[in-house]
Amino acid sequence: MASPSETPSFGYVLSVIAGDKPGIVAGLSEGILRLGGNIESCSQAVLSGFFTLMMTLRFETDFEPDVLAAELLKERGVEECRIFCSRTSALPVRPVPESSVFILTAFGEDRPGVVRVLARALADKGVNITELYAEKEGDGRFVLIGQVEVDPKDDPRTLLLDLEEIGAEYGYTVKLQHKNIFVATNQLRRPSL
Amino acid sequence: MLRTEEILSTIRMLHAEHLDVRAVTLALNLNDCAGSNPDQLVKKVHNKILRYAGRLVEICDMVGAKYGIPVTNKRIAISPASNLLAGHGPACAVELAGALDRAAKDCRVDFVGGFSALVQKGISEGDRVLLDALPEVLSQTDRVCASVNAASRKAGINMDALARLGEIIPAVAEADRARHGFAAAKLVVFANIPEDNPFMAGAYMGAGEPEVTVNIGVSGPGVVDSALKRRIASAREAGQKLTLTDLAEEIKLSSFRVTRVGELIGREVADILGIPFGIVDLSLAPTPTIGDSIGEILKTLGLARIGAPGSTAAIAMLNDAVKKGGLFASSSVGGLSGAFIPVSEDAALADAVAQKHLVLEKLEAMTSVCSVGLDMILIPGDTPPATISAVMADEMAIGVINNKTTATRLVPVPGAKAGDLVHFGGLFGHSPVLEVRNVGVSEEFVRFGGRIPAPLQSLGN
Repeated sequence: MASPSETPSFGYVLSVIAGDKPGIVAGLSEGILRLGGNIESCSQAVLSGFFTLMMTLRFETDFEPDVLAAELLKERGVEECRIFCSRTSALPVRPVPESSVFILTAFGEDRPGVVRVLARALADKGVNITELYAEKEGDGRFVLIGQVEVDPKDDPRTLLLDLEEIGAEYGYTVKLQHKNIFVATNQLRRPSL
Repeated sequence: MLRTEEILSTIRMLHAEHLDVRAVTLALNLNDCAGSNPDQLVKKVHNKILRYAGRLVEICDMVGAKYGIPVTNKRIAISPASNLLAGHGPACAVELAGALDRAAKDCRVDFVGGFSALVQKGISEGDRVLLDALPEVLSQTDRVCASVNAASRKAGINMDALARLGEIIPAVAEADRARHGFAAAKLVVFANIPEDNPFMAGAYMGAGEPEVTVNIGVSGPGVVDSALKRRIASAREAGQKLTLTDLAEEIKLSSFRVTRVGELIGREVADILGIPFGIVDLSLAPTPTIGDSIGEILKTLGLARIGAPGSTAAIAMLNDAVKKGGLFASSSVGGLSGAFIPVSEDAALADAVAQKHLVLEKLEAMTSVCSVGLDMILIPGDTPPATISAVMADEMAIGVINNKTTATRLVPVPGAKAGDLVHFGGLFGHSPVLEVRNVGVSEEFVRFGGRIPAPLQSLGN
């Protein structure tokens, strides 16, 4: 029997959207197991009533992405989903640079364009967004929370000043704070410097 | 992985509830600056402070910006100045204070503490020089803070020192008459002074500490008060019955988070400066800003009037819960670590004094269960020295018998009588002058002098 390192394997990125209902994850995971696959990472959320899920998968069988998506759509609970699939080898992965992780928060009245200006400002400065959450609250306020990677050589104060200025034009309060302050105040184990 | 609610609750705590790092205090041992030549002494002191603390403000601002938390005050605490004054005269004491003041300004810190003497068991030559110079030093410098430890659990209460301080404190205030005696607000008299207190005016670097260290004072009455209000409101909405046990738990949780903020900032500042981190002092230190008040917390806990029966019990619960939450958050807790009740610095307490709901005797009772003592108490300028000494002796007794730190920061406002309103401004706030009852009848007691012996260490009922 070949050892795991000798067995060829094929990686995929899967994106699934649907109207939310119980049983979608169960159906997907049953299908993946049936096809001999393994879930390597997963992120799922329900946004405004819509089910959204992303997964990275690994299989010993070399499926065409469309075939893999079609196979998964046969599972009970998954039939009404839309599935997008790509080989990981088709997506270039940049080397992960050394970075400090900061949390960006922005609050203000909901209006179009806020995510765009903030994301553009970050992109223009080479700041990568690694996680993003945004939601319109019941009172009409829009909340945006992003985890971003800042080059340790850059002064976050300069970046914050720029973001504050951009946010103010939209009536938004924008903050940029190192991740450790949130770890320190919410988790039992204190963060290392 | 951080959850959205965690991020939002931290944001709320930092930006809507007045959480700040109240003080980053660099503590520095200056004993190696001692010498017989006063000019060399003050030069060495100035140079050493600048060598270690020259970048303190810049680094605090940088770290504060990184975490989105203001470091409100950057300060320096030194080893007791009286150690440097043995063999010198009063002129050297004034010169030394001037050098400390200049060093503080050059480093852009707001205060330098440690113009101090430890006299709980007796007054040495250096201590005497320092004590005699206090009126001139405190009225002529802007940033120098002084403290005197006049009592301890092991030594008892030095009544000779308190008798002398009863004369010195009005003299300090009188020397600063133009500012309503403000100079006396920079002088604290302690029982059981902590060696690592980062809060002014009582910060100094005690024996047994390293050459240099960074101590942190966090605050956060606003955070605690808001957390309690939210808890009470949500319970009401849900028709839930809340008990004081539930509220104590809420205070603990807030204290945990506040302490963690301080420790994070302190460790990083120390790391960048390349010196050891000392302690985080998790005191709740109010400011005159509305919403940043210990008095408001007492009101939230159900006391319509601060000073009413129940006030001592409420502040005892607050003080204890703050310690419990903080101690779980950090293994480096020290300093004073409790709830402060400085009257002029807490708008709600000052208001309670103005309404005559809160009087000196009730404040004294409250200080038996919280930190730190009769703090920022304005008294009539004509209060007799022996009465001032006796007020201090009462407060020292609470500390010595209960094995805790207590202190007095009394300001006999020149020319003022009970009820007059005095404004100091800034963090020092405003307060009516408190009535001191039974004045002029403690002379004989104080005149006996000597030392009230150290108390029994057992049979403590």
